[in-house]
Amino acid sequence: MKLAAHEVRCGYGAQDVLRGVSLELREGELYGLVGPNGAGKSTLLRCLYGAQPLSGGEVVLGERPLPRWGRRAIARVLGVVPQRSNPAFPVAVRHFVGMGRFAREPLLGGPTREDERAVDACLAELGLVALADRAVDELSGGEFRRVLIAQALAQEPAVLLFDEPVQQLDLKHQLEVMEFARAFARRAGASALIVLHDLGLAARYCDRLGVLHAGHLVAEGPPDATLTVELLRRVWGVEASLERSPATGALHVVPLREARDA
Amino acid sequence: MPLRRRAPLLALGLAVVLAALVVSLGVGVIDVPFGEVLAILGGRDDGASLHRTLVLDMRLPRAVGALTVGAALGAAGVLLQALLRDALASPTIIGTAQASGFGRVLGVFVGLGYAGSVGLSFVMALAGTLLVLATSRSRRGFPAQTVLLTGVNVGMLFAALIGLLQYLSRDEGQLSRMVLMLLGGLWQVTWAPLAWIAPLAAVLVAAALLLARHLDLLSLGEEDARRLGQHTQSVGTLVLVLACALTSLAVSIAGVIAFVGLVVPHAARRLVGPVHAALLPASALLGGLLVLATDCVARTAAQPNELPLGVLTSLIGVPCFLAVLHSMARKGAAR
Repeated sequence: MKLAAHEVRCGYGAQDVLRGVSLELREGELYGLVGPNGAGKSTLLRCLYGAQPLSGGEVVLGERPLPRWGRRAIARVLGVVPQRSNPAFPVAVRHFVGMGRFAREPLLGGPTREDERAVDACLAELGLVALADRAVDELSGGEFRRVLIAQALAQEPAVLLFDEPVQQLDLKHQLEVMEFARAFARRAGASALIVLHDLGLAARYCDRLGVLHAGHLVAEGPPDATLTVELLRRVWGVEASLERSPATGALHVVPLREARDA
Repeated sequence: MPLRRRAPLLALGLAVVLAALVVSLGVGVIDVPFGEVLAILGGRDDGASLHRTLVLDMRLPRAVGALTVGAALGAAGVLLQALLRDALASPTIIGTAQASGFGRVLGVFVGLGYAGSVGLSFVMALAGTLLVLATSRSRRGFPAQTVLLTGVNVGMLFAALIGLLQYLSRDEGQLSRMVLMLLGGLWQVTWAPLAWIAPLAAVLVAAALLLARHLDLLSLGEEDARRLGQHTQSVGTLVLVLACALTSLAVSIAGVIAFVGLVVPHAARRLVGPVHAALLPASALLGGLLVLATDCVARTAAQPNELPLGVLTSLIGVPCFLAVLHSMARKGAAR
């Protein structure tokens, strides 16, 4: 399913965080949203699933603008993996993942057998079967990230949005999450958008990158064509060398020093 | 947890409560053997004994009142804790019960009938709780410290208003009715109001149970709940109204009984876990059981006198609450 932002503007108070951003997430692709701290990446992500009121422009999911979808209907096609989640009471992993089924359960009946089977499948897919009965507050960072992904997957979405999913994960878990995101985007009718800080991972895994800088989308396209020394200087304010990794064939960014005039 | 897996646990809980009911009907200044209690309840006795009057007209309404009050407060505590995402929330902590007590007394002061005072008590419970929520709401929900401090203050406000009404009352009879009403006890319970309050409370608890899954989502936090498809605003409002209605029914029967709404959800969470489809019925049953048992002690411990129920629940509740706080503080330190 298609997800598109048209001239999205959004601000906290008077200061605009997004100043007219347009992008389109196409079926089958993994889209990486990158940019320096404070560029508006997380805000844009929140706009894309209706968590943030817009001050201008619109977000279109499928054929309809987001406000014309009900909240339950959105949750059935669009899943979000947030940076963090703090359940007030330490529920078991199985139950926490099961709450991803909410929008597909009967409104007042709670989960059915079908929902339970779907949860089992998600637990298996993310390798969480052994942890299913553990309380969510006893997990490591990497484990809890997998639980958050499993919860979003339980929604059976066509579109998945990831908000900095590899932050604070070790190398192995970073690869795990990126592999999952790419595999998800390759499913029939699916697509995924991922907010990343690590440009190397972004260049290696994403089909297209969007570079957000001070509320504007300043560059967009395939990683090889998008990431340039000039862009890194202008947007991130660093002198960097771009090298191609012989092992992966992907661009690798080596930051050298702060640029004199950012 | 689906119903088929909850059913045995629920049945066990109900059985325990029923057994406690029979025991409570038998004990008192005059003990009635349990066999006879069962015979009286089943209509198999001679039909005119002193014991029959004692069991059916004096002890049964009181026991039903105790179960109603306990179940209502236990459920209200669970609802408020899910809404505020805070295990320390309860009707007395955040001022709902005091506001409700003020409404009840105000009803007496202005000369409303029983049902009218109950209605006013509900309105005040809602007003007081909304005041707390509106004051403490931040962009990210309800910060626990702010809610608790605001709640304590609003509770004091309504306690002061109750004092003002009592001061303004010119009529000795009215004054003594106000004081007794809020002392926290079940000795004045009669069938007439109970006949509609108990079923109404049962309906409200059942309605809350229908929302069990929504309570699970709500306690994830507003942001997460919305992301997963919940209309948090309307569900939150509904949960608030249910909690206030249950609190005002309990206060109308027995005055302000502290700590049941706080301690019972905690105990129930230890027994059956945090999933609301199990937690809510467990809290209602456990709350009923606790108030019934405490009232039995209140009636019998200092015969022929009676201890105030509200005082007893506080004597039990305060140490439990302190234990909870202590364990939370230690957990916090470990993190």
